[in-house]
Amino acid sequence: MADGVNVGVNLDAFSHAISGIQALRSSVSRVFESLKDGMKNRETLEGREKQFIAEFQDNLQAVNRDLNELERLSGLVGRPSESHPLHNSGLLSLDPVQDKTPLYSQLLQAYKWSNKLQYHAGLASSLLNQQSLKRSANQMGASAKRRPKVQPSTLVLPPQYVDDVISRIGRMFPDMTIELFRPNGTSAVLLVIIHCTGTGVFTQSHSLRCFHSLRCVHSQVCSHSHTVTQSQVCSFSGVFILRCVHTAIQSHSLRCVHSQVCSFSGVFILRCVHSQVCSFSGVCLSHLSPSQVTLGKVLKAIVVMRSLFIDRTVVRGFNENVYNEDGKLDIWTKSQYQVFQKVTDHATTALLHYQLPQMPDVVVRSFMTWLRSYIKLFQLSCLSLTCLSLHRPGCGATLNSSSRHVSAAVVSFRTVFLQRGGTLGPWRLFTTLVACKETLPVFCFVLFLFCVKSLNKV
Amino acid sequence: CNVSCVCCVCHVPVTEGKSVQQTVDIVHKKLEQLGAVKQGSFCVDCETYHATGNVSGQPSKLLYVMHNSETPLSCMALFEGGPCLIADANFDVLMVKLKSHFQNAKGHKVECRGSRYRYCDFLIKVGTVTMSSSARGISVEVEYCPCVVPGDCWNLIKEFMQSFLGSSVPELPSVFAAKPEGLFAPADCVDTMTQYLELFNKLRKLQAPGSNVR
Repeated sequence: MADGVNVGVNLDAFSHAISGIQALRSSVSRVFESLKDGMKNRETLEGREKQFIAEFQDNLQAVNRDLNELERLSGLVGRPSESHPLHNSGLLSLDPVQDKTPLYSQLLQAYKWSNKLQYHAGLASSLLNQQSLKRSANQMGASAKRRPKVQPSTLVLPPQYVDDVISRIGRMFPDMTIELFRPNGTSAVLLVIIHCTGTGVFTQSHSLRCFHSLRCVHSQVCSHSHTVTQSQVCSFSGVFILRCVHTAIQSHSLRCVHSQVCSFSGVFILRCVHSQVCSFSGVCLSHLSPSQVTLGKVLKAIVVMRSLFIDRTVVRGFNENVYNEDGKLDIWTKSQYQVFQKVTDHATTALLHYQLPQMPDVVVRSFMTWLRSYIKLFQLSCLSLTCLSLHRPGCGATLNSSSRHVSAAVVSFRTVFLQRGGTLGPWRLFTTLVACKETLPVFCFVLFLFCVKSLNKV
Repeated sequence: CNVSCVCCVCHVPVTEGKSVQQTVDIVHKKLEQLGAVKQGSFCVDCETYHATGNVSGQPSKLLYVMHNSETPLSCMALFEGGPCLIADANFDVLMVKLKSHFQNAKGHKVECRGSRYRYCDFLIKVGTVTMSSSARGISVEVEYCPCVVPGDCWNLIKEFMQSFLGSSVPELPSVFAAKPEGLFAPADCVDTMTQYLELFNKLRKLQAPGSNVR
């Protein structure tokens, strides 16, 4: 109680009053003790009675004296100052049953906590205001009067435009399919599936007829050698499975690998992983509503959009189910694998990083490019500061921010280890898409990039 | 864990001067020191059937019927190097009915039992392979659940195995390299069972070189 109270209380008198209470208590207990003990042994009955009464009187007078002393001291103690009026909550502190209903102490704790929260929130908001995290083109504050004139044009876009942008981006990356869904009105949900890359295996080519009927050819970027092979299409009991996989390796050659899987089951399944090709499994942009980005056999990402702004994203493994029991896209469940939970966190950071309120399609394209770098999630070892070996970047790939070829850059700088704990280093730097461990401090990376850029004179 | 994950089954040789059980305990301890959490037990077993009615002089084809406790309602039937069938648990009853075509080679039943550990996204199963109640060897299966393509994550699995197996880390299982699409076809439970079958056959030949499975 001495905390919030100041000069109103005489602390000295207070301690005297407390000892006065103790004295009063002991004299009262002495009275009852003497009563309990009863009469002491004396020769005559009268003597005993007289002695008893005298003792009793003495005790009672002692009690009286102590009580008067206490009253005097309590007058000296004074009242606590009224500068912090507690009103009704102050009455709570008078509740003697503390262990059953510790209301007052809990109230005090809650109050202190909310004070701290307010303080920290103030600090956080001053820090956050230094970065412009506005994702819309609206201007607040000074131009509030003019706000009705500034239309948030990028927020209200026709769905057809959004579809066009998404399909254009989907065509840019042959190893990534983007499907668009619209489960709740006009806001789109994308399902992105990333296809695995790798040094595909070539098998003999047959049945060119089949190949052309699928319209599978899709080349991209600088393809110096364009090798297309198909495996044989075997038909077993009148049925065949053809799976087309596109791989893009180190940006210099695009190889189409068609694999063949025999089946005993007698089912015709054709899976073509392109946004342009209509596939028999029913993945057709015009029919579906929500959007999913499938990064082949690596991962599936669900991207929820608000017109062309990316709202949130969930990344799951390729073998996990993206649909819930109703058959709708499940946009809330986290992945069951830790590596993809981390990738989800990084993807969320990425979508917050890429911001351009005036040009949302650039933002979506940058985000998709960043996401595509996860195609080598399980393959590439990531960088660690312990063994950084700076070689001259090979294959003529540049490391400026417009470069999109992850493989060349990382192959040149291939070093060390995977992170302990069975998880990978899924963090990708936003400008260069280089994989690195999560714990690598940022300034080391800036240093590293500087060295790299100075080496790379292109 | 989902059925389609990348698995690697390898044989751990028994340490010099120690018994099978002691070597298994050493591996368990290393896993626990790494931070893995024990999550129950597993069992993989394999029964051998001869195909009767073959032309004499040719070796009879062997059909292996395997069960895996990870997929308790399924049962896999495979010929070595040949096609594989995944059926439900009633297949065992069917095999009894097909007695005239497939004879059970009793005494050739192989079982692998042990405990399961989980470490982040890895699933590790350390088991003792027994044939007619005698322990023949130790198997370790490492499964990396998030990835379905062996070519992508083989390096990761190998490095992880090195951390607790030391030097007895195998090469890339031939079952992945032997596929027509190579390493980039998705793995499934058939690959796992094929690897177990290869391990069982290897262990069968190891300690009983003279016996023939005819």
